[in-house]
Amino acid sequence: MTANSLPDVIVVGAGTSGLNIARELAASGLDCLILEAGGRYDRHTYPRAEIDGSAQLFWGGGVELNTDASLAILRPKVVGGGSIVNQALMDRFDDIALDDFRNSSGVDFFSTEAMAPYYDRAEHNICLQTVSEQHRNRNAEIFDAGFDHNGYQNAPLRRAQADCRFEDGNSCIECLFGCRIDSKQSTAITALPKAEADGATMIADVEVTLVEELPDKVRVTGLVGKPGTARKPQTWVASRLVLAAGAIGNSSLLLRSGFGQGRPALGCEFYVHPQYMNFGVYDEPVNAHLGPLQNYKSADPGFRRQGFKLENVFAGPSSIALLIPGFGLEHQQMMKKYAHLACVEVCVRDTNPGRIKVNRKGQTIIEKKLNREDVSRREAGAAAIRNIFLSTGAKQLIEGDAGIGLHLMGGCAIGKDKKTSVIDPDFTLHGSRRIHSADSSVFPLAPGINPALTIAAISLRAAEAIAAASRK
Amino acid sequence: MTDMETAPSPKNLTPTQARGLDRLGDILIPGDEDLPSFSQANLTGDMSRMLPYMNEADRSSLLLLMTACAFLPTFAIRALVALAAGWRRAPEPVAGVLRMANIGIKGVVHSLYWSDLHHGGIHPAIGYNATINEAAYEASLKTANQQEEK
Repeated sequence: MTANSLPDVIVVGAGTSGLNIARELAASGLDCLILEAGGRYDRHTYPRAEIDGSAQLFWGGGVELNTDASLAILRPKVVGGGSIVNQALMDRFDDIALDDFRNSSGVDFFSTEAMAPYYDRAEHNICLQTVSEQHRNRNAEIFDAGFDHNGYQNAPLRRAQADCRFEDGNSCIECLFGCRIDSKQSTAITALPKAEADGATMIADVEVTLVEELPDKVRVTGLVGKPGTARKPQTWVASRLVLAAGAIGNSSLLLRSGFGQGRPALGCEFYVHPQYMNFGVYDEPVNAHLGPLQNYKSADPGFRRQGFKLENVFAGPSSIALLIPGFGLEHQQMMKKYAHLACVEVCVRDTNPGRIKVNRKGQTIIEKKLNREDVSRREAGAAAIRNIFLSTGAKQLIEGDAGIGLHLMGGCAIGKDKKTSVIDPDFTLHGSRRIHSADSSVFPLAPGINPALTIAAISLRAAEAIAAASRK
Repeated sequence: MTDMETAPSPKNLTPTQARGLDRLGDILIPGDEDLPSFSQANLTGDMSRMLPYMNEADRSSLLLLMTACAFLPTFAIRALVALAAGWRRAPEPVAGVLRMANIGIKGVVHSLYWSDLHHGGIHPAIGYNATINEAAYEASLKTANQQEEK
């Protein structure tokens, strides 16, 4: 972008979708301005302490809560978005998910064949590795053995990583707040440098508060400045706008900007894949925090049918302390057994949609509850976890104190029907000519599979449509 | 809830709020022969690492709670913490309010304490020793660059 010129496109949100789209649009010759609410870090500057990682890299200073506080919503707020703070698990959607997406939205490209070239390209843009079993910790061994004992099927994980250098004693748990050796393939290192090399401009610490569509352009207003400082309003103008602020960000921004009128589905169909961490206490050290954080995923067709999956996960001491129930000496004693805790998480493919709203003060309200079906899915997963722990010698079982929402999806569902969707199959807001979106907010329902790779693939498809529209 | 502030937010606790946080923290983490109590860990000054990033509504509620904890008798603080921790026994929607309090209280106290900010032996006491060997990585980059230049 040259001085005093208007960008062709403003991208709001520098996560998996926003930076993939920006890279493609910049490569096609369009001037892109990327605005991100969070800060820009690199491997030298990512927060080290857990408290700083939570505070600096997530909205709300760590967590946001739904209205009945049954879910702790973790919403990334950093250049790179979810790809900085996730576990980088990269799976294509299966036929079940894609067929459900197609049937729900009426959008034909949700099929294995139509998505394949975009998955290929998304995979080509990053390094992908199957997590090696050579350095697996005892948490992974327990997961694997428990599956074996109970006749469940699991599979090694495929992860967006270049080289985690486990021979140096590295532990991936330390990279949940950004990878300090640039192994994790975040869009901050895989997409942003290419976008910038092709002329895109990135501005961090801008919270966009209002978007407007005018006959010949879009106008974007935001507050500029780091948290805790006096932030100043600023306005930008461009020919087109790509909203890539995620399910909650896109929905609340459009609602706040008055786009709810005539779009009854805006903010609806919100899903989170509710996750519940369960712990087994073992006599011998488990050291779930060492080495690769995860080695395996459940690959059991029965689990898929029942609407859940299990993950071999763990977290840092502050997060585990939050999840272990109780307080005082008893809680403290349990924390002393941190290294003896194994952890398996049930991730529910939720069926009951939530809703994103904005109140009169402009604050975002997250309505999301589990229905009877979702609760039964959670319980089925918890029963499988109990079987895993009990068959591998756990002396005590602990159910985590809170549900977690990490995969934030929907709110701006893609589809043909204006009454039930918000974004059309060409990734343009219904009734708009200049506003587009292709991130997880366009998901019409919960896939039950980690969404990162599919967000990248859909974004590549959307970038083609947006570039074509720009040339008209 | 999220909100959009334009004014600078408070970065530090008042002495009263700090006293309240220490009293609240000691109910959650009383300490023993292996671990310092919350107040012994000297963490109230580190609230400056959290406060600017919190939503205004959450921050106001939290500061109010800390002020209250500065004046409430210990048994009342304990009862408050126990009530919140016992949310599973309450019917909805009361349970939701208690969950909110529980997550708010635990979130602040445990984030401060278990981050072992002053290297006070908290991580070693629970066996947390995860690291990233950045020096080895940077050295490998340097070697690779030197080889490339040759």
